[in-house]
Amino acid sequence: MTGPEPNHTDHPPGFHEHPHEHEGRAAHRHPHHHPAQALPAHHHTHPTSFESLTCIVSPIHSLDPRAKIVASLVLVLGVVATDPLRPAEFVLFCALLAAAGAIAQLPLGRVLVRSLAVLPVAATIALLAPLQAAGGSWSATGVAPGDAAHAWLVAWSIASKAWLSACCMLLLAATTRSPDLLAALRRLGVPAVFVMLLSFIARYVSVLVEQLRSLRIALISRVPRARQRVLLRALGGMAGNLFVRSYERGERVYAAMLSRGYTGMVPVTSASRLGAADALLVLTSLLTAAALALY
Amino acid sequence: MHIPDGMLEARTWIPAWLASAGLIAWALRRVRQTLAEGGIVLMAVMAALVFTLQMLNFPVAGGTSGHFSGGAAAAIVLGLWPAMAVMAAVVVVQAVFFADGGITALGANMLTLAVVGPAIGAAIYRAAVRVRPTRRMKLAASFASAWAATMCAALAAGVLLWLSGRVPLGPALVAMGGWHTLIGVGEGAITAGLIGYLLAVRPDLLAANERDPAAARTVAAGFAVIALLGAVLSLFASAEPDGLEYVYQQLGSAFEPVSVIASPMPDYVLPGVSNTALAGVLAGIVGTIVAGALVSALLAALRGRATKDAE
Repeated sequence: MTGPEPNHTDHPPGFHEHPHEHEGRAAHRHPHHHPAQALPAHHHTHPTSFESLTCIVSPIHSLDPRAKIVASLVLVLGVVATDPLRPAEFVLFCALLAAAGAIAQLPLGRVLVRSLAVLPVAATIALLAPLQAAGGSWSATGVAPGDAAHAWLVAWSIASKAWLSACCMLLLAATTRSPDLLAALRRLGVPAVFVMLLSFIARYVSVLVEQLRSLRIALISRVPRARQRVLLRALGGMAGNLFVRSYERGERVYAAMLSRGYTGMVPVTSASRLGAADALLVLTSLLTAAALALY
Repeated sequence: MHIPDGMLEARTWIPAWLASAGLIAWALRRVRQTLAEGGIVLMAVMAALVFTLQMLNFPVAGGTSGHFSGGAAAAIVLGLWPAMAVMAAVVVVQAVFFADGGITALGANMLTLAVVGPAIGAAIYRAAVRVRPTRRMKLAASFASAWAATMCAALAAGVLLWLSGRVPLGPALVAMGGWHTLIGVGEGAITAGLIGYLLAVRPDLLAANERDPAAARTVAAGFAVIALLGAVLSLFASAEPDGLEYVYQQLGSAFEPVSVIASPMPDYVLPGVSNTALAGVLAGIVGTIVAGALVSALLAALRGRATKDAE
């Protein structure tokens, strides 16, 4: 543990939330539990998932989620609307995103690795552009020399735009907690039923993934080397099993919600207000996008 | 198959956004009308389930693997409109929380995965089961509908990429179709397994949703018309940028372009903006607003008439 020892006389033991630090990690803030004052501080568990990055305390994390959503969308639009990105534009935009990531104290390497997931799909389609420039033929004459430069420019354009847009969205996802993000979507005018679907996915997916994993382990331990046909049938049964369990879970969840006073609307707890910093973020993104698109 | 950002031109992704937003909004409306409160909570848990089941990987060929998509299965079990809403939510979560699939391409991805897949799946399954509602037929129909839904979604994605001028149509369809022929077999097998399990364990869940035949028929008919129009236009579009313009050229002087009103946005480009891509986007946005206003006015008029008839 680095930094000042958290002062445990400030708050009683039990479930609470305050910013704190651990060795090698950015300051973060999330609900946790202190067993008793006598024990060493902060022996609570820390999830290592990508989502745990949203608990970091930083100026960007504390911005209004609505402003962050609008800014990301504007940046993505700017990237998509521009003609093929010039090297200078690309470098400057990367620098901007990296600066935002640094202010947010994100582990840039981890975000970078995550963002590369977009490249397999993007690169496949990007490489079809040189093919089309060659007349769209599959024949092995290769890319016509006259068109090659333009075709590779198109390929670069597709891949770079896909990657930069993914980076924008990952910055949003890494700096905003999912309940806040969903509440912001609701306040931006997304229909309530749809936001409810999204929030249930965010909330229950980890439970269902664990159930799926245990079903998988059960399958592998009983049929370690299944042939493809057997495996596919087993996967179907697994899906059906999980379906019935989820259906019954849904019935229980609804009963639980009713017993806690559910009236058809999920209440919004955080009602943040837009401030000067949020306006600045949106303005910056608008100017950046406009500069990219018009330059 | 999630299309990332930057791959579709404004002339493709803006109409796709418009179309899918309209269709999903309609589906949500129908869901709110037909489902009780508890039904909506159940549907939300089902959305989490479909998201989870997409992690089911199966080997395809040559060491590669595909994953379950679930559009047809959702349509068979939940009904068409809830399935469309559920699949749309899954696609949105993937795009917003995981950067899997683009934001500008979100409309296109919703169109292929949340509209085409479930609609084709529901249409085929319902049609087959109406012929013979036996257990065997239901299993065969669920396999066939899931396979066809996967194929149609993939081909639709190929067509969208082609409309953006990214890929030549032939190779795109061959590549997407060829690959998803195999993926579709896995999808079909898992769907059939799922339906078989439900038939054995909770047949009541399946029976509950076999009473909405009109929806699937309407959507299937709509798709047939769109596909037919697309096929006819694409015959003309091979060399020309716009099939309609080509038709006009062929018809020649008989249809000398009579401009009733001077178009405010010639060639879908706003005048006075030099960057063509940006101008295309702006024109698309303006067009979207105008079209949205027209459609909502039309709907309001129709609704007014319907209520008057009812009185």
